[in-house]
Amino acid sequence: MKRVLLCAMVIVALAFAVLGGRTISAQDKQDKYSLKIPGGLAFSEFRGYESWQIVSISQDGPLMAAIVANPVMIKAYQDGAPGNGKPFPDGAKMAKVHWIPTKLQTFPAATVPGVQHDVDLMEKDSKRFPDSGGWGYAVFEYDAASGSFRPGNTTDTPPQANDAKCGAACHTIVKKDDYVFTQYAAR
Amino acid sequence: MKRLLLGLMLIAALVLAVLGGRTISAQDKQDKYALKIPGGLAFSEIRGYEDWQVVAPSLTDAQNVIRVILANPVMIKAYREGVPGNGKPFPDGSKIAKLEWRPKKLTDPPFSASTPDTVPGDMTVVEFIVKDSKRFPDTHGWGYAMFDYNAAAGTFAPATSASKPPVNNDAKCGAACHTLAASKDYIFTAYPTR
Repeated sequence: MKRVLLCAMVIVALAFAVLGGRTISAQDKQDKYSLKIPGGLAFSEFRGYESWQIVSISQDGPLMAAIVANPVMIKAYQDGAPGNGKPFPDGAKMAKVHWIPTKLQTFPAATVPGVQHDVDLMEKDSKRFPDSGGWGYAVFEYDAASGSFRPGNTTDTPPQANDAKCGAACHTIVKKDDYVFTQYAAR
Repeated sequence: MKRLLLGLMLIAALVLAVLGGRTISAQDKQDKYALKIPGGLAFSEIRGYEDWQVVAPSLTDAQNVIRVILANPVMIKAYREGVPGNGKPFPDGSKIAKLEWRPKKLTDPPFSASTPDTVPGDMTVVEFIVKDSKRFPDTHGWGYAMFDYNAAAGTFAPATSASKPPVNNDAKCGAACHTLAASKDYIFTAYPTR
């Protein structure tokens, strides 16, 4: 009887250890969508961008990028915006994921994404962002070692201040394309 | 009365001309999904790839090419579950498409000749691979196909033995090359964090 009891206690202890371990590892995983730029955009405004459709890709200075957009913006692109002279509608959102390039291990001639560097975000809301062409901007930097994001700041490139305007100055150059650099790539 | 009749006839003629013109321009636009590799895969097997999610971009300067790799929902789900790094193969029904373009250098401000961005220019080819272990037992379950794109004409054509890589009348065009990635279930492209 004692042996059964001991056995049961060991099983219970093991169960706690396993459950405890799972809880800790779940806590380790950051909820990136709880992050927010002080005075600016919340990461959660772009929830689900991991599954958005591709607009295009680029080699962006020393980084590689994939530019994805939400369904509202993809539809506008497919309808011809911004080339048709119409601006992107309110609710349009896009995300640019930047990676540090690396050589493809199995085929070194190809350059492919290595670790992630950051994600840049912009969204259209003409009432909310009247001073920056209707677009609000945000940058979240990625730390590959810890697997976590942090809000961009003024030490980053481009600098992210405590507002939603970090991309506005640069994007003014493409005002004629409704402040959006990326064209919808033929496919 | 005669004038009214003439007017009606003119209107009818105009309507026909407009409708006729529209029909012709609709015919001009190729139905790419009607294309098929002889003895191999049909383009229609990846119908809707234009809307698939991105796996990753890739570029090879030496080959003057910039690409994006997209996958269907079955394959994206497998990637997110850890395939192929978890030792499991991609399931039947997995489909992956690679779109290739000639690189275009952006040199207008804020870029410059010394610090250009490189983006897709003219599209050159759509390649794809589909997993069906019963249908493609000789090539580890994967069937391969490639369609060349003529940017000037805006039309696709099945790749041939003159294409790079050569495509014969079968579904094996990529099998030899993809053996390099045998440890990754023959798929070169990894799913990076985002």
